[in-house]
Amino acid sequence: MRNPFEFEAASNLSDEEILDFYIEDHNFSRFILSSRNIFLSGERGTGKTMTLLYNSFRIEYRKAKNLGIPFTFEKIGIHIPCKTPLIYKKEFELIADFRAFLIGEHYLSLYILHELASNLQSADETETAFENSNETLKTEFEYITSSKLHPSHSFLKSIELFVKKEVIDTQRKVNDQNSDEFYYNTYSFNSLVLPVLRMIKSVKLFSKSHFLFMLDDAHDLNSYQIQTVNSWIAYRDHSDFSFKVAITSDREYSFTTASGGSIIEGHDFTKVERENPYRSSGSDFGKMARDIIGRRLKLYLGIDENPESFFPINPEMEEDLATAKNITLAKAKLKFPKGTPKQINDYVYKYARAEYFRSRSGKANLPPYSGFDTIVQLSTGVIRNLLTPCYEMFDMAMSESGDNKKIDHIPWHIQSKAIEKVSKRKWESINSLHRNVEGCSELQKEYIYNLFNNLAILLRQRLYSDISEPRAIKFKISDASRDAMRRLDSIINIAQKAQLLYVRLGRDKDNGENTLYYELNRLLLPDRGLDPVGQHSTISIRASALWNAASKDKKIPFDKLEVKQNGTINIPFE
Amino acid sequence: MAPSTFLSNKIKYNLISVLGWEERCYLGVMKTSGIISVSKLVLLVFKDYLKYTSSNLGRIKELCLEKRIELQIVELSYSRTADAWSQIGSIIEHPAVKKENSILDVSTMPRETIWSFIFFARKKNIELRFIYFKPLHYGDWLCKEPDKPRLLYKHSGVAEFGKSTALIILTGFDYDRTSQLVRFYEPSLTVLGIQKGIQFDNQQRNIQDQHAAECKGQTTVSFFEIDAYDLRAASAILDDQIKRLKPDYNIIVSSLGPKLSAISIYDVFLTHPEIALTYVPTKEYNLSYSTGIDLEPIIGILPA
Repeated sequence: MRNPFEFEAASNLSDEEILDFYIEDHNFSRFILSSRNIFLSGERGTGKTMTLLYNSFRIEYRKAKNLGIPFTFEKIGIHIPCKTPLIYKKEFELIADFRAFLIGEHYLSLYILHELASNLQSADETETAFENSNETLKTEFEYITSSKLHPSHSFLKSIELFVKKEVIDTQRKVNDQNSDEFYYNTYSFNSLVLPVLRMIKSVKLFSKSHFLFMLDDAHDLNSYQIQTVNSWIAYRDHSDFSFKVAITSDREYSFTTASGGSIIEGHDFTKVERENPYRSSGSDFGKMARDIIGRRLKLYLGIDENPESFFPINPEMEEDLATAKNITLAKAKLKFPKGTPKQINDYVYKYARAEYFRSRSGKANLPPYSGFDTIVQLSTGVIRNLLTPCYEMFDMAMSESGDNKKIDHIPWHIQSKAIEKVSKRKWESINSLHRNVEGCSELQKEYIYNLFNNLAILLRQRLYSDISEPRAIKFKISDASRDAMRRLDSIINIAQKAQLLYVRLGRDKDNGENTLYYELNRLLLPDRGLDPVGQHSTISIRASALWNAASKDKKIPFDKLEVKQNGTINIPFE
Repeated sequence: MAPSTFLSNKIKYNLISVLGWEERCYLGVMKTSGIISVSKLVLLVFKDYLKYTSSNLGRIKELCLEKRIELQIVELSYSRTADAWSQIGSIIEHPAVKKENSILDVSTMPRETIWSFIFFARKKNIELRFIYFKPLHYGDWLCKEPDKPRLLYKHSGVAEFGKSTALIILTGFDYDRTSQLVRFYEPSLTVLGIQKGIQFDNQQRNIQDQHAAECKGQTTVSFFEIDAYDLRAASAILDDQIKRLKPDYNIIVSSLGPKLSAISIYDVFLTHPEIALTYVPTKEYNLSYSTGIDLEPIIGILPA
């Protein structure tokens, strides 16, 4: 029996599987299908590739066919994955900067043109649309490039063959052991892609088309190629084409152009974060998570139930949570004898779950983490994190019940065991960061462990203390201009790469400024007995306190007296 | 009598070695100079690792004095990849390096350095001999603090549009390296070549299922068995794998297993220059990664 929660890289899925698996998020589709230049940022596993693929011409066309509606050819998304051996070539380091720019742009331009020509041919209408133009366009292309196209194929097919041959010839020349010479016959976006784009648009079917060049994992491009892409983005006329560039984060991608300038958010491009801030099961991500799990249950197990039934909560936990809620409600009524319903509800929202965790015996095992809502909360808004515990649970359930037995739900004890296992593994993964995260030293690995351990201690202190926001798990860094922030930056970067920490940009409630919010991967929380269900609140921690926690293993200062009424707690530097 | 069919006792050899921190590095020079007549030792010294290797450098200098071996130290920076590449080229291009008079001690040499030497030797149309000493024991881990995997200059293959990526890894004892390569290249298919045999607790330390677990959920995985110590057979097996994959995939190959597998990989690369050779630059190594030296070296000719 196939585990329905397998996380398969989107690039390895068939078109049909993409259509089956993808849960459309209209907010993203709207951006992707716009004619603006877009940067889509998000760490690995947040669904960037899936989003681009789903909105690509190949899938959009198939979607229309499956629905029996005509495809309009107005928006044509060309998916260009950058994780390919062609992009990883390093020979440019052996030549002068100017030539490195030329060869980098040459490879990229050939690649884009190949994907454009081959994708367009996949539509049934294309052949007929080009029928009367093939010869004229081929002659035009040959004249512009002084090259010969294959005589017995259509315009698009012969372009496809031309770039295939050109890329092979270039690589052979560049790798030739007896040649230190440069490959002189390079093409650029302007000399190759744009003329072909205009030729394609001269055909009636594509005359109103806007082409979306979707550069996926663009942080993998070399520095020359990144600057080249940015220069293309700075190109003002976006009537015929635009770029959708998927990157992990700003840290991995420079926004400078080949001419030494830079492209600016809001002016040259719009940035969209693929990592959704997760707040509740009713949030956009919460709904998407339900759909993702629900669809997989139906596709693989034929189960047409809601995910809550498949992942039932431990009844004892449910009961204890209800008891904690009643206790908190009684406390709220005592505290606010004439309180409004909002005051009472707010108090229960803030303290009921904390009451549950506090009421557990000090010697008790970890809480029996279970239930679909807990699983969604543990994901921290990242699809890969959502599927990981589910995969583990299904695997355990299969081992327990025998491979051939139908699994119609995951018993809560298995859920708890799997969550504990995944959480423990996440902590253990810190031990090997210096062996498998590029650029991480052993010392930085130790700092990351210290930092996370001390953050977990702080969250626990808060959860068990009588403070305004005991379940706050997000934090922002105050005093960020200090030297400590500069040193902290490198370990935050590694923790982010290892998906131990998520960083999101948001508007600060206090001053309206854009602020970075940090959140531990919530999969780390169960191992420390913490509550993965956070609350609308942010802890403010000084950069120096975080640096001391990391480098000296000092506890992050926690002073209950510092708690402010608005729920933000300032932890002073010692 | 000649010590091997590949070596002659009538030739005074240039021995080319990389300064390492393992005992094998110093012992390798000592043993080799006892087997053949070494007139010159070209010692590549990666400055980045001097903190680990300086004690071996002192011992090798003394040995060269004692045995009247001319010592040429070539300082390189491991992190300045393009410069290191050119310097390796210069060593081979030197007029003193002639057909049949140079031998590479590959025992502790990084794989990419071996490949670079073969490249420049072929360019000059000379044959390099190699000598390889196994250690007596391996430590529990090899390296840490890896950098991003890289494709070797001039060996980045000929990638074709429209093909998926297949990654062939000749696995070693370090599961983290397998995982890193898969995460970095995100291949649709990963083919793991698992070393056969019981040497160095291989069966306990190079477990197929554990390597596969590192790839779980990221790529399709298949396996084949290989014995890197039998160079000819290893090349034949690799050749079969590449022939099978070539029509559908752009292939990247990496050697994480026994050092000699790097030679078989190069051998196959010459038949299939479309494949790309990759390696993982690493900042820190285990100082006690290996101990001792096997008295029976493996000697041969590098692919030419």
